Amino acid sequence: MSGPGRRGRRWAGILYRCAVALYPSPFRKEYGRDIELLFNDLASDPAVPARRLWVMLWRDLHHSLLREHLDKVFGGASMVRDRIPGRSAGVPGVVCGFGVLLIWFTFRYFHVGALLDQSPLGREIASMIWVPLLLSPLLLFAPAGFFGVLRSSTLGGGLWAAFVAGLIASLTVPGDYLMRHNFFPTVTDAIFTIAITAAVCMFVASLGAAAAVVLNEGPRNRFAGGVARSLRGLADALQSESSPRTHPSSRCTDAR
Amino acid sequence: VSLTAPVFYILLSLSFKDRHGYEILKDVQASSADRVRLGPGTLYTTLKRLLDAGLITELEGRSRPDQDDPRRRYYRLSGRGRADLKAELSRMKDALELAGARRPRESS
Repeated sequence: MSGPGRRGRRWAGILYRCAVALYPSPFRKEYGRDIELLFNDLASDPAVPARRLWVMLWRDLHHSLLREHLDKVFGGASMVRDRIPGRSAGVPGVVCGFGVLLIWFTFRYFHVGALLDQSPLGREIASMIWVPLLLSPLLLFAPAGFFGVLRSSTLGGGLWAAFVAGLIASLTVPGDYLMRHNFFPTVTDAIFTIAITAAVCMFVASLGAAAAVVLNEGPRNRFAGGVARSLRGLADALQSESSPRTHPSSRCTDAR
Repeated sequence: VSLTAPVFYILLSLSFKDRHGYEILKDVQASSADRVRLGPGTLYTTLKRLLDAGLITELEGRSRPDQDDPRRRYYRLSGRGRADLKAELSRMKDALELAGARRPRESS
């Protein structure tokens, strides 16, 4: 075999092993060794050209790796271990959304802003307070996504929770508060701000959701897995307390 | 429901004998006249789905323990898989007969 051909096989082998490490952990544990073994068989077969190994690497990345992750994350055929109706994933989102709504009501009807406006120091605080007010949905969003994922075990569930929270937050806080203070001269500016806020909120929520997915992997990181399980247990306990009539079939079950 | 090409060729390959991953891969390539080329990852994700669907089963023991790598896993077509494959072959046969009976319209 020629030098470049051997080098090509070697590099394809290295990259392929890296690609195998990227599969979702349940799949990787079950089939990772078989996949590597099969790839080694192909790489040592002189009838298989090095070019084909690269094509295979690309095809596997784009077909099976992506599909396995999407299936795992969005509740595919078999990789999802825990299935809970999507509605329950929206609960944390609604709770967080109402938290934000409460903040808005406090400012809107208890005239906190007006009280602050009465003194120079108060005006200073009032001018600064919109920053944490805008940040509050962001801070609430990450936990919304995080708990949404823990409840549903899918990123889709987390994003749904985040979407609900974001919808409520983005339509109330920046729109009302900033319009009242004339920070935006036109409605278009306000809508633009709301859209940006919603996008940022969803991004932060998806970070929280992604963190939950990583923590939920379990055995690879025992401490994080333990924390995730504890949080899940807490969420389960809270939910069973609030809704004692939950059907047993909706509880988490390990399919594999 | 028609089977996808990789699923069809994998079931077809296992309908002749029990095989391990590499054998399946080679047989699929040969029987599809090089049209279906599976990578190892694609093969095992498909095998996993077929196992989950109950169309194939994994063998506990190896057919040739003296010759084979003990790390290899063998797969066998299940009764349900055989029935699905038979249905697919019958559907293909019907489609071929229909296509043969109806002369396709010539494009002018």
